[in-house]
Amino acid sequence: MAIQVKEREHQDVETEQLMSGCEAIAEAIRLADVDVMAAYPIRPYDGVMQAAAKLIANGKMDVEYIVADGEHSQFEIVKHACAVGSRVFVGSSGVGWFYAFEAIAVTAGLRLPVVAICGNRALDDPGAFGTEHNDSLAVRDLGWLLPWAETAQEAMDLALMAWRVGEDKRVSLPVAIGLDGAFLTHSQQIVRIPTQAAVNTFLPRFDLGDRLLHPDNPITIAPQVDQDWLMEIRMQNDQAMRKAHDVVSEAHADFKKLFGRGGDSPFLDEYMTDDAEYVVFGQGTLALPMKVAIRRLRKEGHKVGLVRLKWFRPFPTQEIVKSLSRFKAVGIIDRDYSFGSPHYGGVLYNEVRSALYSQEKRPTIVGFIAGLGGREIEQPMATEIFEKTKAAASDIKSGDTCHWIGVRS
Amino acid sequence: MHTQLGASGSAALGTAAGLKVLMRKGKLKNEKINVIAFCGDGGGADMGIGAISATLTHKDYNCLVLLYDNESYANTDIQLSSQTPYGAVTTFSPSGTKKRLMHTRWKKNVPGMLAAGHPESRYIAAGCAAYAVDLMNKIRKALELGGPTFVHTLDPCPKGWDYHPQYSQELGHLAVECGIWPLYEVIDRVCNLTGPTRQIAEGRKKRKPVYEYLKRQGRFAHFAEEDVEHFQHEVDKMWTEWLIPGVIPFTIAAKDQTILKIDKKPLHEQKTA
Ligand SMILES: Cc1ncc(C[n+]2csc(CCOP(=O)(O)OP(=O)(O)O)c2C)c(N)n1
Ligand code: SF4
Ligand SMILES: [Mg+2]
Repeated sequence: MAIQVKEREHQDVETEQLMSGCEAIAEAIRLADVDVMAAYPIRPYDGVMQAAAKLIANGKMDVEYIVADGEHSQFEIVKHACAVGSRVFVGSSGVGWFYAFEAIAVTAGLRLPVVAICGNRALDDPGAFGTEHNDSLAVRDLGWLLPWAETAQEAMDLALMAWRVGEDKRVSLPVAIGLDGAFLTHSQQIVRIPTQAAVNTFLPRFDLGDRLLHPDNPITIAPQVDQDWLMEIRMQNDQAMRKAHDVVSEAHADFKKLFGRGGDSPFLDEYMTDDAEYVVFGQGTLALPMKVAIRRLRKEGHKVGLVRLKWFRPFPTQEIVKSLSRFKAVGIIDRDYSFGSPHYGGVLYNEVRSALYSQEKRPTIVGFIAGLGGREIEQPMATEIFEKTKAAASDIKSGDTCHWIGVRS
Repeated sequence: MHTQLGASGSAALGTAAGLKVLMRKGKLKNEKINVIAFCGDGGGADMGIGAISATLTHKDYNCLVLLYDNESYANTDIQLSSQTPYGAVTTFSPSGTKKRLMHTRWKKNVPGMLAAGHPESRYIAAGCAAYAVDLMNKIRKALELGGPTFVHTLDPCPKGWDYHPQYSQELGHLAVECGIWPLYEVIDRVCNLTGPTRQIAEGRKKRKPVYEYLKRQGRFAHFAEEDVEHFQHEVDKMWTEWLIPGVIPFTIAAKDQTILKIDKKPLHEQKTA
């Protein structure tokens, strides 16, 4: 169901506003005419709920806004509201995300296109409010689409994409947008707010079709199927995830036509890579300090660049292969950990290496764990990452190592 | 639609909220749709009690939570829950050579607790499948009054209670007639005892000894005389000491009876002391 859109017809009446990543998501909720949302407090994601509550209180949008008694309830409430045909929004962070884990798992199993944000936060214990990606990444195998935003603008844009892609009948999967805690959830940037008319063109009305739970459409949802049917159903989820790749591309193309934003590739954002020999690869806001380092190192004559991943699920394997095989070495920066994994690397590191396994031409891939718990990636750390990446280029095996960056001894 | 074990309150709430907003926005035909969420004693009285409690405070949504109480986690092979009666054998509370009773907690008073704690819910009731008409009426009233409502039913379980299925109705009757499981409804904060419970309370019927009930079930076969006595004593307290028999477990001390004569006029009509 490709949507016909004309080029940038509404762009001229867009407005600009200074807002945080959380506030940008709240604007997206308004523009998408969300029907039901459920809130529960945990920092930093809850900035979205605070901003959305204000929009409701000020009569800017009509959303059934439910403050739940815990995250399990929060995610169950929107799951059930979605089953009767509501467009829904929900979110959490860190341990709150884990408190909802059962509901998160079944939402994907049910193929209900719930849209969530995960305001990425370190898991307890010990306590830390800052960003770390293990909360979002914990659902990586379950059938949630997982885009990651770098800026407040991208947060809003990805949210609008999320309903469009998730609710598309070819996909029908939930989406959780990763927003780095504090760095993105609570820092303000200029955001262009699209017009309602343009959003209406981009985002069709949610229609569950014959899967709608309604007395006029007698069906059963989530029956006990056991080994008789489970594999068939799991494989349908796999197929939906495969199709999501194309649906994301399609939505990205339409988004670009309508709003003029989104970059060349729906999946990867490349910075100074045209002639680059050594690049770093990562997701979220760590792009910012790395870009500063790239500009500095380039002045010193180093051919360095950055590839930023925009969608972790579906993992854009072909795009990554095509992009990364151009370089001599790639340093993968994980703002996460995966204790005991191959080479004791982070999640991204092992996923990227797996994607490149069968390629004849492949760069050295070396792993870095950095910025955990919201620690700033400072310039000396960025330099160290590039130096270590360059040093690893001569020998592909030297990539079988994962370096922890900026750790006090 | 099946939901998760502790999620019946949230399932009811989310469904009702979704239907309400879609009808308000004209995205769905405007009509009355009854939303009923079923749960067991494990899913409702233990794991999901928080969500049910929250749902009962959302007075703008029409939904009924119906708790089927078979007094154990039956699906997973009869483990004790907060609704399993004192002393009963379950697979988590076997009777052994050193400990005769492994389960020594008194059954949690769920409908009473919910009625006491959720004054805006228009209908909260305790029923029993053995009194079908009484139960049917309770469900009807819950749905008709609207808002978030709750009905808890005691449902004799041949497997978990260890008796022949042909005695299910009889055991339901005995639970009520022995005063162990009182039948009542709370409509707009007014408590109304129903069926034999009302007859007992009005003195038209005498409570049967709990032994009549206990002796019919294998789960109490290990009871010694003192266990039966303790059980009887606790049930007696429900009828002699509770403010409302089987509903509200606390009362007012004899010396404080004047509290009941409190001035009930609205604040602006009250004389200053
Ligand atoms: C979160 C979670 N924990 C445990 C289970 C396992 N489980 C399935 S059914 C069940 C028993 C439920 O007991 P109850 O709610 O009383 O229903 P009954 O089987 O007695 O009708 C349990 C514990 C589950 N499904 N989900
Ligand atoms: S006898 Fe009835 S209530 Fe008991 S376990 Fe079997 S089906 Fe459940
Ligand atoms: Mg049970």
